[in-house]
Formats: sequence, structure tokens, C-alpha cells
Amino acid sequence: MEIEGNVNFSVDYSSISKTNEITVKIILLGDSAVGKSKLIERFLMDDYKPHQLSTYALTLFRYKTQVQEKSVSVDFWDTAGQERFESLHPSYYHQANCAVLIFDSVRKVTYKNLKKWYDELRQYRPEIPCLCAANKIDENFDATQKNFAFPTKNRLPFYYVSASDGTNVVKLFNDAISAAIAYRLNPTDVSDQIMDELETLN
Amino acid sequence: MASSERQWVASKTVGRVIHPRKIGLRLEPLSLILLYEDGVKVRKRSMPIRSLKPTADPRCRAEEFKLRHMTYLASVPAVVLTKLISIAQQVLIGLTIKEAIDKVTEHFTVDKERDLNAVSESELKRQKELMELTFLNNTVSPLDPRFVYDKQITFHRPIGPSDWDEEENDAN
Ligand SMILES: Nc1nc2c(ncn2[C@@H]2O[C@H](COP(=O)(O)OP(=O)(O)O)[C@@H](O)[C@H]2O)c(=O)[nH]1
Ligand SMILES: [Mg+2]
Repeated sequence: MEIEGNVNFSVDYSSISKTNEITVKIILLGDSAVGKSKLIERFLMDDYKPHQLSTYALTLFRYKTQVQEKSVSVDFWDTAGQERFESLHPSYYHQANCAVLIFDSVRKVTYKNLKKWYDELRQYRPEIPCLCAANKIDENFDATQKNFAFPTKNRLPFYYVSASDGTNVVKLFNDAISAAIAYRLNPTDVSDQIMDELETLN
Repeated sequence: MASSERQWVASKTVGRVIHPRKIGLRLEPLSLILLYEDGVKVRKRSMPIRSLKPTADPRCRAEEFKLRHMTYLASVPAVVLTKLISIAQQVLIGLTIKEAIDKVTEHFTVDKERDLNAVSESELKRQKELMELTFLNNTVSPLDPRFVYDKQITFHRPIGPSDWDEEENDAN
């Protein structure tokens, strides 16, 4: 998938722009219907009209924010159904600075498939920070009392969220942005640091 | 199509905003009953379902119905109407209302065991519409005074392991 054809999307996520604006790319991963699109919509509310790149089976949301007095331009990449084919195009992962891995807390199969998504991610991006979230906790509040082995085992920061009632959605994405920036500015393995920080917070 | 356009214009002229609250089925005469708020008070509207055949595609009938009553039904998901029309059809072929509700509800429930990566596009769409029913039920809209953009809940140490991890301790 080349997106060079369109000036707007030919971003090199590894260079700092002239204006000193930091650009980061965050990708959403997980099975069909876990709520990836609803989560990003809840975070962005109605302010952002997505760029539908239907040819490439993805939807891109560009979000501008300030983090510690720096302008940051965040590109959220969401699939447009390509996850049905059990794997995503390599360009989806290309130059990603952070990944958010989501499962549906009412559907076990989506939890079991996390491993597949995580393995594919690590094949392309062995080091980038990855956050994990259990969505739809409005429908299964019991899930919030459970420890899930997958994120613990892979040392992924873990969130209980609901795109429907909004629980922890903004926190999840703000943490993803911070992690993406941290990785972007110091592209070593930052995931350990994030985990440590979260542990001290508890 | 022309009639829906006319109604749309009419609804704009009147300038009312319709907030549907509840929708149900009446058998005699066969109609859908909508309770809605129009900014002033709760009102009731009865919309007849004419010449419904048991063999008709309930989804098509629902979409026609929605178009015809666009002013009132614009924000009611088509899947809700489809479900009510399906119940009416089951009653037409002789089921009791309770049997009809049970049968149709089963068909309109999200199949939680199903791997939705492996179903057809139309089936995925249908499952998502069913999920949308719960989503809408639980959602807190930005217009709601209880709405908090950055809503955070800290969940304390989990009580126990998830049984989803049971079978394979060493796998993964
Ligand atoms: N109850 C509930 N339903 C949700 C939530 N998030 C998404 N859904 C429903 O799940 C379905 C799939 O969501 P979608 O965002 O399209 O999933 P995607 O395929 O991963 O992008 C939709 O019908 C939503 O209504 C949530 O937090 N709670
Ligand atoms: Mg989606």
C-alpha cells in the first residue's frame, strides 16, 4: 500500500517536521466487532471527520494536540474491515509508534485471538509500546474483577474500557499518545518503562 | 420516496425535535406504537403496519416503514423495527405472542461464541447491529448532564483469574 500519491498522507513518521511538530502513528488492533472504531470515535467525539482510504481498507483520523508545550499530530489508523481476513497489510504496521490491542469482554474468542494479533504486530514492530484494553465493560462488569493472563504475561499496560459509557477511553488514548511520543523521541524499548510507571501508580 | 421527502420538509418546518423513548407492537390493529418526547412532553403515536405477509422480508418492510415515518423514526435503528415486524409475522402464522417473542429474540441475540472474523460481510453487519442495541442502551450522550468526557474508573486489584485463561496454562 503506497499512500504517497496523496500528499496529505505521505507522512514520514520518523522525521521531525520543520515546524517542530511531532508526528506519531498509533494503530488499532483486534478482531472484528470488538469496538475499535467506536473507541476512537468516543475519544475524538464529533470533531474529527475521518479520511476514508477505502482503497487501502483503512480509516485515518488525524488529531492535533499539545503535550508538554509541544505540538503533536497524531494519526490514528483504524482498519475498515481488513481484520476479517485474519491479518493486516504490512503497511498498516509500517512506522507505527504505538499499538492499542483490543478485545471484547463479552466474547472469549476475541480474547483468544489476541495472541495472533500480538504475534503479527511483533513480527513487524518488535519494540513499539503496546497497550491492551478489554472493551464493553458496560455489558460485562464482572470482567473488571478478573485478571487476564495475556496482558500480564506480555507486560502490556491493561485497561478496562467502554466505548458506550466512556469509561477509561480518554485515559487509554492519552496514554497511547504519551507512549507513542516517548518511543518516537527515544526509539528504544520503552514498554518496560511504561509498565513500571503503571505499577508504581497502583 | 416522495412521501418521505415531504415528511422531512414538514418536520423541518415544524421545527420539532423528536426523541424516541420506547417502541412497541400492537396486534389489533397491527401497528407500531412509539412513545416520544418532542421537547415539551411525552406523546404517543400509532403507525399502522398494512398488509403484512408472513413471507415478506422483515428487513425490507422495516426499511420501508422507517422511510415512511422518517420524522419519528429517524433515530430508531432499523434492527429494532425488523425485530418487531418479525414478531408480528410469527403471530400471523399462529404462534402465541410469547412464543413469537421467544423465537424472534433468540434469532436477534448476539452469538457470543461465533468468530466474527470468519463470517460473511452481511452476517457481520447483522451481528454489529444487534450489538448496537446494547451499545445504545448503555451510552451516555454528550447532551446528558451525567456526561463526562474523560470518565475514569480505577478498578482495584482483580479478585481472581479469568476463566478464559483456564484450559491452557502453558500455551500462549
Ligand atoms: N455495549 C457495548 N457495545 C459496544 C461497545 N463498543 C462497541 N460496541 C458495539 O460493538 C459493535 C462493533 O463495534 P465497532 O466499533 O464497529 O467494532 P470494530 O469492528 O472493532 O471497529 C458495534 O455494533 C457497537 O455498537 C461498548 O463499549 N459497549
Ligand atoms: Mg471498525
